[in-house]
Amino acid sequence: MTVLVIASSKGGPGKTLVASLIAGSLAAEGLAVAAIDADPTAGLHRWATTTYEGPPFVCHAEADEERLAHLIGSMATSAALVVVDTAGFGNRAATVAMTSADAVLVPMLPGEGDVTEAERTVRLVGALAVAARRDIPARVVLNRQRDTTALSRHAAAEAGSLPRLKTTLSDLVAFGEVSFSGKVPSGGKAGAETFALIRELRELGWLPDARVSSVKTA
Amino acid sequence: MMYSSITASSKQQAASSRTPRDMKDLKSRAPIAPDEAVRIARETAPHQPPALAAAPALVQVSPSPVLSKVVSAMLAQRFTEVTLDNLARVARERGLTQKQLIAQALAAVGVEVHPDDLRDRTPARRRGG
Repeated sequence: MTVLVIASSKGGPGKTLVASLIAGSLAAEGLAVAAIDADPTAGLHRWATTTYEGPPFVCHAEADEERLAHLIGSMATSAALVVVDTAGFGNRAATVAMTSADAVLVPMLPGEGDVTEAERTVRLVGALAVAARRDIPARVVLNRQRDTTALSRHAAAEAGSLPRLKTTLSDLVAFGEVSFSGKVPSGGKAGAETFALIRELRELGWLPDARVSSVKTA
Repeated sequence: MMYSSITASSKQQAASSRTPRDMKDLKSRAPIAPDEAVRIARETAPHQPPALAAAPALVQVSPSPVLSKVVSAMLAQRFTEVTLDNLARVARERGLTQKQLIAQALAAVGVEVHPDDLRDRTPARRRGG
């Protein structure tokens, strides 16, 4: 029903982490979640199929743009949420995913390159929305933030003109551990930030309501 | 007077029956068709590469050297150091000379390339052989 694409033309801002947190959190709520890994490195697919320990969700790996477009269309008819993780450089598969998206989330680290590429990604989403005559909202989510540092504050200020989530993800070991533990944080600061992320995306209407849909996907 | 009251009444009726459904959606709320998404993505960002590079097309090279009497000539072009560094690196990775790599790329886009230009013609003394 909802296609949420995680994208940035910069590598390493935490796209796969954010996709993992969202897919895992909503699967834990009993929602029918489908994930598509459009990154040729297939990190999300590997995590979902070999490491992840929560309630199961469907995960496909597909980096060919034409097959990806059809896969998104087909998954969107059966799942309450389709999360698409994309590769960290400007590529056709990511652009097709963003064109098919109901919303695009752009993770951003505190760094000049990240701010530049986040701006570029948001601009591209805007151009795709115009070309497709669709409303495709995009928001930046700041990742690996250390609020006490001048760097994080400066990067946040530099990204000031971009549409941003209020929620930020801190520079926490617990988030790094997700890739090895296969567990989405449910407690501590990481759990609270994950919960806040889900709540804010839900307030934006980007995620389905857990109470409405409760069909699990095998 | 009667005319104006009827007009006012009909205007009121029209206003009361006007709902958001009467207004046209300029932007579609429906999911986009897959083929349309691909078309728009390609048109909006035409220079983007595929996420997964296709395997390079194999260029057929005849096994025996062709003894040709084709006249050769020099072509000198100025490139940025970045491009030349990348050319050298990719050629090294693929076990080709830089000239071979360029010749293969030309052949791949349809330029008719003489077989001699597709072959490693480095003199044996320079190969260390």
